[in-house]
Amino acid sequence: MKIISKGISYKLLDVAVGPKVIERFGVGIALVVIVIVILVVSIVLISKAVKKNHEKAKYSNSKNDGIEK
Amino acid sequence: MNKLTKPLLAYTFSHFCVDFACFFVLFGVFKVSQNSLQNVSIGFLTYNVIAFGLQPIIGKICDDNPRIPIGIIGCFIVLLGLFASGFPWISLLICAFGNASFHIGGGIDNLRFAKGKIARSGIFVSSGALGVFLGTIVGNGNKALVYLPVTIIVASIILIALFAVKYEDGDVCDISIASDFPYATVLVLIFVSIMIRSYVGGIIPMDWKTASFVFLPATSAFFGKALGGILGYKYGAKNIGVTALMLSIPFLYFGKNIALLSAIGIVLFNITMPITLSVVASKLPYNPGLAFGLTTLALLCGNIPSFFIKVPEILVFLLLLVLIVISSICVLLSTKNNINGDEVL
Repeated sequence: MKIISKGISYKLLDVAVGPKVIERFGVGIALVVIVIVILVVSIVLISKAVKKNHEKAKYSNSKNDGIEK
Repeated sequence: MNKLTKPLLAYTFSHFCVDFACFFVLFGVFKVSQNSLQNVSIGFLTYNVIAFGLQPIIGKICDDNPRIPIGIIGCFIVLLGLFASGFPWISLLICAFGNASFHIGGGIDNLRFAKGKIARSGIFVSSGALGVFLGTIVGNGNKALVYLPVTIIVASIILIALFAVKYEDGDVCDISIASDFPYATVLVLIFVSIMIRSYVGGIIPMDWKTASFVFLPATSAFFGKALGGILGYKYGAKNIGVTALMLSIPFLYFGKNIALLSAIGIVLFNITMPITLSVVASKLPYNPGLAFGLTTLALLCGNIPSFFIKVPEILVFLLLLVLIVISSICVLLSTKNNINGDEVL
């Protein structure tokens, strides 16, 4: 029974689905590759979003300064 | 009742229902249809990759198109997955996608209308643990009960339709608990911290588990996540996050054979969940969907090793100790205290 973080472990009630993936290594590795691709895409999305958030925050701050003045 | 409380309750209840339905499908539909444990493992890993991995992308799309009612769309997709239960793989894939969509909807709602408080996201995320637990229990070998998840998903759709707050221009996340380190540093630190939480969550030893205590880990996780948001706002996210993680170590260690100690350890261990989410959202206030998605991607990355590697029992505690300490340092460096809205160093 290991269900600590949501969606994290499915070893619930002795359903041993842990390292079993290793027995079908090819499929497991394919899924890992998909995750790596998602990770790379996410990094690109985040770097764009960070820039945008930074600019918006700057604009919002300068607007607030203007109102205060 | 505050006008923002009803949507919170609607999404929190729906979160329970969506996770219940998805785990019902995983255990009640998919698992029983497979003839080998390897297939079950591959199916569950595939589910994880879709349900957790796609959230950053769905989140970004929703940030750019904030009027998409993604929460309710997610519920409809899960409903479709339940209707497809005659085809286990298809049902699993549809439910995973619906789960990802719903979480982004709920996550955006709870970050955007947080009003500076991290309690809101803590309450929202907490109910998922109970849904996962009960969905698994009910689903295990009871495919005939499929009407149950169908009913509660329909109820979720109605509740979200009635109470969800519509987006208006200028609605941004106004939580501010991230440290002053650069964006990239904070995001990497939080990513590592969440990965560790995800991985450690899967290896905590619980020799006390028996049928009578079967509910304990899930309810402990539920309380931990809900408490994290409330305590973090009141006493400072950094104070609470770091203290809870460090305190969890002895409880998890001595709780190996004692259910009560282990439960306390799990509560403490889960307290950082809403804190880490809120730190990411603090750094990406105009992208709540992407912020939420980033945390689930980190959960997925932390989860993957447990599908491939089994840690020898003798090393578990050492690993647990080292990883929790690293996670605490990550939280320490990436988070600041913002007690009741007032910044405190």
